[in-house]
This record gives sequence, C-alpha cells and structure tokens, in this order.
Amino acid sequence: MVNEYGVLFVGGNRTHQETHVAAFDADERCRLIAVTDAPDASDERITLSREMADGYGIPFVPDLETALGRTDVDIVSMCPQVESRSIAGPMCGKSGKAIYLDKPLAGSLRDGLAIRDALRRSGAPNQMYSFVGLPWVQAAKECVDSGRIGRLVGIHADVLFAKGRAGSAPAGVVRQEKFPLEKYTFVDAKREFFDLGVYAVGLCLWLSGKAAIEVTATTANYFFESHARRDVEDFGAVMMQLEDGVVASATGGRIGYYSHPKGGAHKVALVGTDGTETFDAWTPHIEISNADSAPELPPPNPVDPMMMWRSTRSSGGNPTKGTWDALASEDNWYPVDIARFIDSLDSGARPEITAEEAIGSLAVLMAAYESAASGQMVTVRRT
Amino acid sequence: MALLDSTLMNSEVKSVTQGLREIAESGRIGRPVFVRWMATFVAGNESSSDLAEVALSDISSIFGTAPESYSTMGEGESGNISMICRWAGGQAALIATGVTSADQRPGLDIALIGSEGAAYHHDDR
Repeated sequence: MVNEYGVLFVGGNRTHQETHVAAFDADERCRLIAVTDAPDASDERITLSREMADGYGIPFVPDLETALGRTDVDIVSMCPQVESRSIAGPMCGKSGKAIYLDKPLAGSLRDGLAIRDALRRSGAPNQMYSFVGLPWVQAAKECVDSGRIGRLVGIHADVLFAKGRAGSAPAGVVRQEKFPLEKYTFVDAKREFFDLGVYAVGLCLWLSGKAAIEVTATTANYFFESHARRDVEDFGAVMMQLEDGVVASATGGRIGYYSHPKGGAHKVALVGTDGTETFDAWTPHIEISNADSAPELPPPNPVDPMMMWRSTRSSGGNPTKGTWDALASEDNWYPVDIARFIDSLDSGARPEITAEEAIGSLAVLMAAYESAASGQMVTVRRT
Repeated sequence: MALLDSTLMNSEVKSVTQGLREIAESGRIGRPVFVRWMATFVAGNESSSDLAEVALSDISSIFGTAPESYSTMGEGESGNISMICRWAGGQAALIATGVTSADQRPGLDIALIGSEGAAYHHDDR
C-alpha cells in the first residue's frame, strides 16, 4: 500500500516553488492540495501564487492559517519570498505538518532560528533542499566515511551557476558589502552568494560533520550590471575554520552562461591526511567536438531577464550546451531530493538536511556577509 | 628525486600560469576577476606553504599586482593550507593544497574566472 500525502504550497510562481511543485506533482505518493502565500505577501506575489494554483488546477487559499489547518494537508512546501519568511516560516513550523524547506532557510539568523525553534517544538519532520542526495555528493560522502584518505583536514566546495549574459558589470567597481542584509529579491537580480553559496557551505559542513568556528569572506559584483545596480552580489567566496582543525572554503555565484561547458563548477575537493579526492557533478562526461555553433542566449524576458524561472521561459530559457554530454541526469536534482524526503516520511528516518543543519549553513552565510562588510575574521554564532 | 619533482612541479606551474596570463591579457574571458587554485603534492616532496606562495605569486602576475590582503588557515605539516586573497581592484582568489595518496600523482586544478568567460586547467601529472 502506497502512502498518499497531501501537499500545500506556500509561495508560487517565480520562486523555487516552481521546481518543488513539479517534483511533488511527479511523485505518485503525493497529491497537490492548494497554493497559498505569506500573510505579508505583496499583491504581485499573490497574483503569481494564484497563477501557480490555476496552472495545476488546484485552489488558491488566501489565508495561510486556514490553509495550514486543512486536514487533507500532510506536507507543506514552504517557499515564500525570503523577505516574507519571518512571519510565514514560524507559522508553517508550528503547524505540525511535515515541512519541505526552500534554501536558504531564511534571510536572517533570527528568522531562521524562529523557524528552527518552531519545528523543534512541533517535532514535525522537515528537510531543506540540498545536493546531498546526488550521486557525486554521495560518492564524496562514501569517500569520507571509508577513511581511505585518512582523517579529513580540508574541504573545498564550489557551486557556480553558468547562467545569464555576463559582461555587463561596470569595470573598476569594488563591492562594499553591507551588514545586516536587507532586500534579497529583485526582478532582475538576487543575492547569488546567499542563494548558491548555501549549497557549497552546506556541503562543507555536512561532509565534514563539523561546525564552523570562524570565517573570512568576500563578495563581489563581477558579472552583471543588474546586481551592481541593485547593490546585491553576484559572487562570493568564504574560507572557514571548522572544528577539530579542519579548514574549508566555498564559492557561490552566478558567473554567466558562457563561462562553463555545462551548468557551472559544482564540485568538492576532500583533503585528507593520506590523500585528496575531488568529486563533481559533470564527471564522468563525454566531450564532443563538431561543427555546431555555440548556443545563442535568447533575448531577455523583461519579467525575468536573468532567466531564473520555468514559468517565464516563453523564449526557451537557457539553451542546452553540446560540448559536454554529462552521463548523469541534469534534470532530476529536485525530484531526487523530494523523493528522499517522501521516503523519510514513509520510513520514519530522519532526513539528512533538516532545519538543524540549515541553521548551521545560514549562520556561516551571515558571518560571511559580516566579514565581507568589515574585512575582518568573524566568529560564527553558535546556534 | 625530491628536488627533481619539485623542479618539475614549479616548472609546470609556471607554464600553466603563463598560459592563463596570456588568456587573461587577450580579453577572451573579459576582465580576470577570480582564481580558484588547488594543488596536490606528494607528502615529503613539497612544502604546502611554498606551493601556496608560488600560487599567490602567479595569481598576482595574472591580476597585475600583489594582493591588498590575504588570510591563511591550516598548517603546513598536514599539507593542508587554505588562503583567501583580495586585490585592491576587487579581484579575489582561493588557494588550497593537499597531499596525494600513495597511488595518486600530484595535480593542479585551476579555474580563472573572467567577467565574460572562464579558463580551466586540470591535470594529474
């Protein structure tokens, strides 16, 4: 007998919910129930959430509390805009429903702790999206656990997205980071180190099993005029001192479509006392040389000029690159993670990346922004 | 033997750096803005601190000047050094070293990221 889980979606189109809902919809164990949004969601956000509901033929429920109280909801896919998570997050967390969390957990450590604490009190199972279920990361985990490189002393991870038409950032502008952070999300830009660095930082923490003690970091505006104009970074790098003498470093950013033969560097290097091994998303691959022209990026869509979302891909989105043929699937990353979450609900096993792990990554990111702003080493707050 | 390995290593690092510098100067990847540099070496044959210094010097030659600041973590005895470097023009670099296992060869893994493209070098000698 297959369990069936009713799923409520908090947040709609032009958020990561677009990939969440598609993956839940594809899982035969799940039934889509409704879409809702945060109490402080803007009219534009409400419209986009209604669009998602209409697109999947399910109701839009205007009131979050009412939606969370529905008895046919077992899972909440929590994906309101980052700026709205301070209210919606704890409401979802205390509902007692299983929660699938967008990454990063929240826009500030305070908001993240409120969500984590609400989930602690409710005891509800929860999982934040990450790469830990992907084959290359599982292979890295197996390497650490096997002991074949000795004791882990260093770990270096990169998650860079080769997306967008780079080259428009003004030359000679040196980013001055500010802390605390304010707005994250714009039509034409978002904080890329926040959004992508969470993967790389999370890999360092999860693979090492160590907490971060202190960090030094830098953020930059290397690639996109829109990010510079909005005063949000398109790139960041952090070096971390972890527990027990382990050192780590991570990069996260959006570096431009033409900067990598596939989707961008997604890799981790494990440094042990007896050896070093590297794992990445595109190995193995087949390299192809032929007369095909380099893919052309379509003209930017005014409502999504960085081509972030599925729902705005009227002009085709990022075209497929032909130079590397990766042997592993590139299309199943969200479905893999969501299937693992459903598996954990079926089995009662603890998901590997819960709000407890998510708050660790968030604490590092916030310390990194503080370091980038001050130019100093910053102690990571214990959570 | 150790000296020979060291000389070969430094020689090859220099040739790769020369290639990367020429790519940066050509404008093919726009302005060079970030370098991710990782080297693995045979324990006892190299010094991780020396390798990091070589890396820093070579990256500086790509960016055209010495860094404004840098911080180091790790310790040379384990072969594990990590360094973050910042230049006055906003460029940055991460440098890391690690030892090889008995059945591995030394290697270099470098990504030179530009404002309009990137250059990658990877080898296991």
